[in-house]
Amino acid sequence: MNCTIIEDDQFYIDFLVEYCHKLKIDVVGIYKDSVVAFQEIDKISDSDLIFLDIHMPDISGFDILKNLSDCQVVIVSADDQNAIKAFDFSVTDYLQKPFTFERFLRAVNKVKANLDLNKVKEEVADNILPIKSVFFPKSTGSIYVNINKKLVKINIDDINIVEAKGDYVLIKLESVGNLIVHSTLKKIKDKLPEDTFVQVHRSFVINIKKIVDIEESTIVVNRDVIPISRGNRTYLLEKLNIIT
Amino acid sequence: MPINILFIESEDLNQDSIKALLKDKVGIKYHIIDDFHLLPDELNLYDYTHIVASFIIDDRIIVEYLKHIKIPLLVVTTYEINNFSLNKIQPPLSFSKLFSFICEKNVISYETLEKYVDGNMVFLNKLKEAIEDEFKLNLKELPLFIKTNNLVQIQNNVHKLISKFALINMIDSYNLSIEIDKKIIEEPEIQLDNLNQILVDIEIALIQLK
Repeated sequence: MNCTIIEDDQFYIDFLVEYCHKLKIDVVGIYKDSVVAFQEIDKISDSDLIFLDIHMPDISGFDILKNLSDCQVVIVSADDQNAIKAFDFSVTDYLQKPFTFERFLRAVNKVKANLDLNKVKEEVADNILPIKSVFFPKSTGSIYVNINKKLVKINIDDINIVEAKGDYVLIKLESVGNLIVHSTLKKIKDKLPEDTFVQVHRSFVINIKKIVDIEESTIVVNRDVIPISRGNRTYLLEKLNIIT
Repeated sequence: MPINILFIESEDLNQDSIKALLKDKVGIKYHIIDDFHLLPDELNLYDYTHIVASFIIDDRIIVEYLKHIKIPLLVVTTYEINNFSLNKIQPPLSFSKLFSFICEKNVISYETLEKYVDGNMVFLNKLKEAIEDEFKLNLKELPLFIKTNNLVQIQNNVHKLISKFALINMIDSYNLSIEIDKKIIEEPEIQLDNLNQILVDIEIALIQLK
């Protein structure tokens, strides 16, 4: 992830750079002068995330905000009174100075979630016909997804990974690529056979037949590397035939 | 922290000397009384931050009134009064002696700032230095802006100071600077008076930041 900082106070530039460095966020632009930032607004709009101060001489943060469209903007301001106005511009978050690293991290996580969701929406728009729901028959060999009012059958054995993506679920298949469904991970997991599908992380359910290898904190399923939490790792290992 | 000193001094010459000392220090509020009897009422009615008193006035000594005093006290006296645990200096009272006394009361703390740096001492020191530099710059710039009545620039500088005061736990200065930031354009007279108090706070903080 990369970001641009628009802030006239060097103290908070240092603050943001330090916090970004901690999260390995690439700072691609720093603007102390809001007039220069205004002139380069198109370039700034390409950033994944923009940290924007409101109270700046000449051109205020709100003037810049008016000209940023479809950007993930986190406001950094000493004022708490501008928050309502800022959210009218659909900013992602509002950090009141001074802010702790934990609060900064929450803001960045919101941005990440939004970026992921946007990506999923783009994938839906670009590659996949609209899927309204998933139908699970009582028999466990297959599921049906609704594509353009047509129920399409998917073999459960064909599923590698099921991943939560905000309000959507991404189903990674062996043969026909990916499907995106408007559902929850739990709803889908509940319908899949427990002996084959295991939740290895808050956001991932995997088909254990497709595991390639398991490391301390990651697991390779087919060609995807996904995280595995400690508690789930123990549970998974119990289910597998481990030769030591 | 708005400084408001209560002087207890009966000698006219010494009273004049106090007035002369503080003539240009508009950010330091003060009041002079000439009798210890007035002390309890004065402390009940007004928010004083410090007391500077003679040791003896009309055969009464300040020690008799210590039970009323909950704020820092400085006694100006030539008497050897080692049997009382008092913060005392020899006359004459100079501004540097007075300012040292004011600075004894801790106005800053790094507890909050430490929370923000998460154990990174290099970053902590960098932030401390940045605050110190900003305070020094404001001690230069703000009096000039006051002189030229440049309210917009005062607002810009004070706006930046708000969160710095919060970071080093200068809560009164934090609240006062928020008020200045919001109201300086509409009510400059009152806020310029507050700004002078902020300048004193910054001077004190700079002593303690070192």
